[in-house]
Amino acid sequence: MGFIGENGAGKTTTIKLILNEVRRDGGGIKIFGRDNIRDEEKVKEQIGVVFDESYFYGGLTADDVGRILSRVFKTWDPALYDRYKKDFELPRGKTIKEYSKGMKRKLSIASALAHRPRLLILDEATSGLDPVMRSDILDVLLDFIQDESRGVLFSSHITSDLERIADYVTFLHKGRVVFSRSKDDLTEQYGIVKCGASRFGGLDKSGFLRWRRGGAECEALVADKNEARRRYPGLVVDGASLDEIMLLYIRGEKA
Amino acid sequence: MSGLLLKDFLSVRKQGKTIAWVLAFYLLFFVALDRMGGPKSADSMLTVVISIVTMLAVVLTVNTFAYDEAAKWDVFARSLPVGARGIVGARYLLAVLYSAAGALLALAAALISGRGRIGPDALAACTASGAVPLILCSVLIPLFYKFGIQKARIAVMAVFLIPFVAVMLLKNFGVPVAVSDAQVLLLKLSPVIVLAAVGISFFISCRIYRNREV
Repeated sequence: MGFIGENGAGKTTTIKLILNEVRRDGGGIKIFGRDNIRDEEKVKEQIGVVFDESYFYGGLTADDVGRILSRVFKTWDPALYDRYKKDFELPRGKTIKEYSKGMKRKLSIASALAHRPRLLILDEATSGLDPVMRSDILDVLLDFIQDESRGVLFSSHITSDLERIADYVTFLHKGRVVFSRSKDDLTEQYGIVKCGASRFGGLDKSGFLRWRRGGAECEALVADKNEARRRYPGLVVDGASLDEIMLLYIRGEKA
Repeated sequence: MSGLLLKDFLSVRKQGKTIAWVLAFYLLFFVALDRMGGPKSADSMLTVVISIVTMLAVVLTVNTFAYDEAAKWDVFARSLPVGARGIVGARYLLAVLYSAAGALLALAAALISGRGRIGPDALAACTASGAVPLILCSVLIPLFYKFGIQKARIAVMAVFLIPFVAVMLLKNFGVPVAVSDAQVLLLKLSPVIVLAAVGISFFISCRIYRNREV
């Protein structure tokens, strides 16, 4: 599940609510059918979390992290952790403060996966990394979700990463879910209608989810691009990327 | 909880080596003074050893809060299946272990000083070297959880300064600060007082920690 939204939309707050790191005003959260607060420890035993930065003290080594977490998670698998350390080429002797940003992120992922969680939560886990490092991490995630009993909640600004690995996308805007849909539905069905500003004024806008005027050109988001092509013959109707959908929902006007 | 405790020990590993060297130096110095200068020098050195281990137990516990805050450890810790009681409990257990280690070191120094025997004064001092850090940590830990290490720094200074200033004032006003019957009773009751202080403090810290947002 890809989790998208602008800064301040509530993505990290949602994740912190799931982890009971902030207090909720109302409502409830169920993970694996259990209440996330009443059954907090049982739920967290099956969750792995990767944040946008490393929260381990810089004087520790990757081996230290393994020794610590093996005493925290009942299902910790030292052989799996060693495999990740080897695959990620995490140096044994180096302390975390000597790691690059990418290495720190890989250590976080290795430590989040080594107890074989059912749910992996990533909060901006690929932000600030180069494309090669991001691709390595996405490969690990793709490998992780091969087992269909597992899931990933991946909050990210980098929508191209989500387009590559997400099955579903949830879009959050001002703390509310705008949509939560299959990614294929979004990318295959949503479209952008493009035309000049003069022509746009005369169009029936009831089929537009959002629209936006940018100088001489206007863009409108539609939920069904094939239907839009029939309805507006002669206009350009392109497929919509997650970035474009997000941008039009946030910046666009609606009827 | 043992994982969190291990994390705290590993975090001060480097610092721990330096402290071990300093303590070894003091112990050697203490033994040498005892051999050369006799019981009086050893007694005053015993006071120094006891003061150092008492202070160290508090400082090492306080430092773990500083390390956690610098690394923003709590954001990660709260994602682990240990709960607030586990996280807070590990910190109290750490304070207990440091205090016990300090008391044992003080006891070793007292045994050296007394040639294998311990007088009631030395025994009282050793008990105090284990009890005092726990009382101080019982005051400080809830404050750290409530206000964070930076804002609570003033409290650290206060817990060290207030007893010192109080004794100085008592002395100035002619109140006897030598061991009195009341103080002996206080020492005898110290295990109960410490247990109550740690228990109440732990309860308060858990409440604060559960309500704290990270």
